[in-house]
Amino acid sequence: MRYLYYPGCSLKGTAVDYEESFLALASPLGIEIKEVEDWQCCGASVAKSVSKELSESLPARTLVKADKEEMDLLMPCSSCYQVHLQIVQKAREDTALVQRLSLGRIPKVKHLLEVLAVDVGAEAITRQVMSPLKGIRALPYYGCLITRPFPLGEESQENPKAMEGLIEATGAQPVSFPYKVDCCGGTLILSREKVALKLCGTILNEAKRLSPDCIVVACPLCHFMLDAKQRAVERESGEKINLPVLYITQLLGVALGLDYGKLGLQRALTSSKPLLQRIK
Amino acid sequence: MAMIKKKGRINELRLGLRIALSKFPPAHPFEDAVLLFKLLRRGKLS
Repeated sequence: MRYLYYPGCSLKGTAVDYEESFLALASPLGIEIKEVEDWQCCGASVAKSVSKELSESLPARTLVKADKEEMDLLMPCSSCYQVHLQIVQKAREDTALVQRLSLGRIPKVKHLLEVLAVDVGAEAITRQVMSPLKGIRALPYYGCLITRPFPLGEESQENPKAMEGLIEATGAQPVSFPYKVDCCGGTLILSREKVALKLCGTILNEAKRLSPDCIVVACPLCHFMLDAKQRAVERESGEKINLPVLYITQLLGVALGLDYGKLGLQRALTSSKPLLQRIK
Repeated sequence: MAMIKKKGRINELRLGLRIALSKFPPAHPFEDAVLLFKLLRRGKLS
């Protein structure tokens, strides 16, 4: 499995632990990657409010690079993934755009979760597990961007199961969570903080009611909201939550027996130490 | 569609700080400062 890896801004900043755990996991799982040379921000939801041309040019530039490399794109960030899927969709519908970009073919854009769940597969992961996470209850949270507006591969948009399969592959028990595709409010945190904290608070408080050992995510923005903003939600609601939030790559890395330091687990704001001690 | 020439890297932190500063004064200045410090200590701000 060979992919052109597009990290996006988050994986080099606030989600550096997502990148660390992904890179640590890639080789054992047979994922060969090459980082997009001289990549730039995809514009996410911000560029659209500035210029339509900019919001299309930014992801289009990455498509052109992927076409030249003759590789498909792999994106761990859900926001980058959706932005690139939008330009792919536009290119499929508009042959003039394909000509203007001089694309020989339209590269595929895959989210890391799809690569792990489908291309690698739960069975292959189970075979590599060194420390089964028996007795650990992991609550999967997808957020809104992984499945909407475009579904994740063949997954249901309302009830995706990719993460549950991966959690089971580690030996942990996935916790059924009705709020798993609700929005965490991440994109509103700067413009409408109260609304964002309310949305995030609903996710965290409902998750807490199910008493999981950890929340598992595959989106940098969701991780930031659920982990870094957990104190702010506690302050607003007056209730202690104290739930560790792990990237799916970190959970898989722990099960594969990889070094915790290489998985970036020490970078989380809500400590996962009690959980990790149970696993050891 | 003409490809826009790249002039520099867009940085999410700079964008965020610019928006945060434009909403002066911040609603929770102390908590925001603590969070910023924690993120810095954990190497999460590039």
